[in-house]
Amino acid sequence: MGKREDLHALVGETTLQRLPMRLCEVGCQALGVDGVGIALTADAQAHSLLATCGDFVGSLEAIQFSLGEGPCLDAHGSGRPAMEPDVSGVGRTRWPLFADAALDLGVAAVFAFPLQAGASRFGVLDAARGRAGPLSVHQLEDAICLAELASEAVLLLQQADNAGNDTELGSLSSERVVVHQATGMVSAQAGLNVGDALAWLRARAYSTGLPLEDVASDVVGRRTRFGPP
Amino acid sequence: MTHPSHEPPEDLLARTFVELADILVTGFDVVSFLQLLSSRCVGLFDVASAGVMLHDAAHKLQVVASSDEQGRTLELMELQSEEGPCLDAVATSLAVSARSSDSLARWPTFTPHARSLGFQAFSAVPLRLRSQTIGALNLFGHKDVLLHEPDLRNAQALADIATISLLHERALRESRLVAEQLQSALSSRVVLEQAKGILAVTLRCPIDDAFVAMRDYARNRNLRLADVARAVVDRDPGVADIRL
Repeated sequence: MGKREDLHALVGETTLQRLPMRLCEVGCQALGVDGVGIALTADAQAHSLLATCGDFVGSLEAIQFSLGEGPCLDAHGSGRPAMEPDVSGVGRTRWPLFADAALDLGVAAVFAFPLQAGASRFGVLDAARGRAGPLSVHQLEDAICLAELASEAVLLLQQADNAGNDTELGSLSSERVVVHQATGMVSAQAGLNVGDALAWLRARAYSTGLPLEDVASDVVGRRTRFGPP
Repeated sequence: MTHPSHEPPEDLLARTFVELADILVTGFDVVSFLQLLSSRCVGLFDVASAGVMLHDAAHKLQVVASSDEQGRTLELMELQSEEGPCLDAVATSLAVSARSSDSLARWPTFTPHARSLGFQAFSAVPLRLRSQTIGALNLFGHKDVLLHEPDLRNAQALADIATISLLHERALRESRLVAEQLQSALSSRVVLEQAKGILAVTLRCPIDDAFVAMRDYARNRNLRLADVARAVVDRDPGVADIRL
């Protein structure tokens, strides 16, 4: 029996809607990690969380969206796994901002695998562990296979959407909606393109130590506008 | 393409497998893939002509590749008369092998056509994966002798590689399309929110009113909301007339 069949057996009977969640649950068992998540990406940014299981990964996704760096974005950008078995060591030089935030959460190792079809990349399966150390060869095989299954699940959900069954695939959380609206507002106020406007919001959040969502809420609530802090 | 007749057949067979695999890695083109397969069959097996037929989208067989014009002509005749070795191979999903000296009863129209083109031996192996048969690889010879059993087996092996490649390429093309639709759907959700923010500033209004202005604008002009939002974010002057 191949890996795929093994993992299929672990996933068991489920609906298409619940499949991403089941894959995360299976990942938590099979990969020896504390948390597994499946996130969608678009335009080289974190987009939305599809499913999570266990600890850390929800917060890690938010951190990467706030900072604009981290393993999920690297995996998405390169099309290859981005793995850091020791966030406190090499991880700090790879992603200085992300590493500190991840260590604050108690994350010691992160592993991210791109979801892709041909050259199109649309998401990441990521795993986090509170203990440092690499994945074993078998765990790595399982992770790559789970990422393939997750890719297929996401594409099936998109096909269901195309067929008119609204699966709410990629719906944005209310926090993220506010950030994108604030991005548009800063873009109009400062005459920046939206990429630079988001970078301004991120810099503002970083320099003030406030969460990105709070800075964005202040912009949308007209309590802050583009200008010197 | 050079005709590598100086090479021992087993080397050529191995090289053909490698070349077919290479096409898969370096950018797949169905026609050149099947053309290579057809040309190589002529060097590999004791046949004068080889070709591939595939089901099209309407589930009708079409000649997709042939090693030469005479083979293509015979394949087209076969399709027209609706009888012959390739059609049988597709219909039964089994390899077919026959000589013109005893095929007249089986294919009364095809056999004389084939003879008039100088072909005396006919083999066809199905392109099939499990229960799915997508076409056939056809081998025509000038001598009135059946193709050797090992050659028929090797032809089936090449046909199997071709089938897997074609089905894989088809599946990949489909999933690539869905992935692009997904990317565009994800991107649209973000762009819509950004556009609301931009209009809320330029029209000096609450976010919700900006959305209504954009939605009405799209509706009145029969445009897609996602396209209008994209134009707002791109500062397209075409949507500079959005008003509350």
